[in-house]
Amino acid sequence: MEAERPAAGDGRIVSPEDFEAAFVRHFAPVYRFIAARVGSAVAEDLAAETFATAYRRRASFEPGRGSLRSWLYGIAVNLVRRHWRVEQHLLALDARLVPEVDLSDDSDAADQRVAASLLAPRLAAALGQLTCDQRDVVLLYAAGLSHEEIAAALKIAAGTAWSRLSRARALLREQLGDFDFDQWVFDRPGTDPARGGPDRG
Amino acid sequence: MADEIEMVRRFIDETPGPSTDAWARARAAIATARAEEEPARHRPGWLPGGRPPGREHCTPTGLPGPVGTTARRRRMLVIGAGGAVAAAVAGLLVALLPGSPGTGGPGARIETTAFVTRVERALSESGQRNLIEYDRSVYPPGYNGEPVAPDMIPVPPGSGGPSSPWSVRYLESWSYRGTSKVSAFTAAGRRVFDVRDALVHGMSTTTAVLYRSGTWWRATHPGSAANGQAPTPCGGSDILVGPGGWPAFLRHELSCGAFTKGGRQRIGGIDAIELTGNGGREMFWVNPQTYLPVRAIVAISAGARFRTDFGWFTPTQARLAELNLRVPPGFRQVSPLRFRRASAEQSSHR
Repeated sequence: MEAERPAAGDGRIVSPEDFEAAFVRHFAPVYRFIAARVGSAVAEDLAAETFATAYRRRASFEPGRGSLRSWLYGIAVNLVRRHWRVEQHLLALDARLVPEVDLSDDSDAADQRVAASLLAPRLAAALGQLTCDQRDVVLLYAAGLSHEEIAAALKIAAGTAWSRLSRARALLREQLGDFDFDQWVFDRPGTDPARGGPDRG
Repeated sequence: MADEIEMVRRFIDETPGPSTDAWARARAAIATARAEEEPARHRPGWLPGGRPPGREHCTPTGLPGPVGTTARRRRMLVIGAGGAVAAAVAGLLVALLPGSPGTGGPGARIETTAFVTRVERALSESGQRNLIEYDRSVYPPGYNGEPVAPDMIPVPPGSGGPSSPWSVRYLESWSYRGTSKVSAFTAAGRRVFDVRDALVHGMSTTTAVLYRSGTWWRATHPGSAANGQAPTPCGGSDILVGPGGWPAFLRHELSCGAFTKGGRQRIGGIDAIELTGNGGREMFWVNPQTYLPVRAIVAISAGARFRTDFGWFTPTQARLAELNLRVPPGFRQVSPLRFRRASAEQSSHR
């Protein structure tokens, strides 16, 4: 997991240059995090608003309370929550997706794409079953934030973040049914999800 | 080995990254936030040099006034009274009186900024994506109207006066995703003209049906984005509701700043919040639940105002059908230019 470094000096964002550096570094991942939840159309507005809000509140960012990344994601999470219905709707749509796979390509990269496309509807359905709080911690963790950063982003205790994540992960595994994570290896030859799932032979 | 978090990570990674437009939009939002911290005279939309929005200074150089300014516009629909260009919707021009921006304390400004930001978002392209917009504008008696083809210099408005059977009393328009239709009516409900504008593959096609002369015309020209910015400078001496229709016009006006949030007023069953700007010449009432405008009142000359009421609907077959334009049987096709000259002649001989 990549360590978060202060934007400038003591980590506070004071000057427009500090903020520009933070913007350049974090905009794409924050946008992707939002877009994965509410779609690109809404994400453009929300990502823009995330950084506009961050600029307005930059004086309130204290590096001692959490990383810059966690602070930005915290703003994004708050904005995304206002679009909870959109997120639910998109997850429901994704869950009904019929993936298009190209079985003629035997490359490893193709295997990974196929695996991802086959799994996406199941994963969307599983994410859709999580509560908003649980989905926040799962997606933040998947975005690369540590337990401490998640806690800072959501303004909850680190222990709460940890237990919420554990519960969410358990629910995800439960929702994903008999999917065998131990057998599903993306990078190992012999895995062929497009032809009926992992090669257990 | 991939666990469920790895699956979620791949799920996120499958999401396309930000487009150039997304980056640009974010930078614009940050620039707006930055401008809010600077002295009011440096707000975006104000003229270079920190000049306050005195309307006369924003009129394009070398043009004599509203009518001259009109000559530079595209897709215009000119409404006139007694020789003065007065108001326009979906290409209508509005002449405004000079004045000073509204004022308020820092707290009021911050509250207004937050509110205006929400209204702007509701009016944004993504906010409008699944909405069909309807509006009805009512004018004082004595206004004439005629559609003018793109890139053509409009003639001075006609001299029909209040007694003219073709005086436009109200306009109705529908717009959805780059297509709009404006219909003009007399006080008695008689249809004066219809104008439909559709943006397809970057080209805009304007079709007008003129009931007074029993004619119609069509013109195609390079279009601009449906929700692009209105072309009028902030605080200009005239205001054009351009190709993006009312949503783009309202966003443009709000982006100029200098609006103050007022009290509430019951409009159509909605406890709407008032926004006043441009020295009191523009008043918008906004639904506090949706942040979409329900009414606008714009001063067009001394003592004369026109009122526009808005409706924002989910698109249905019936509502989308409102965007269709049918040329009545027997109507003669004319070129926009010939029509313009004919209209001028008609006006001068009336």
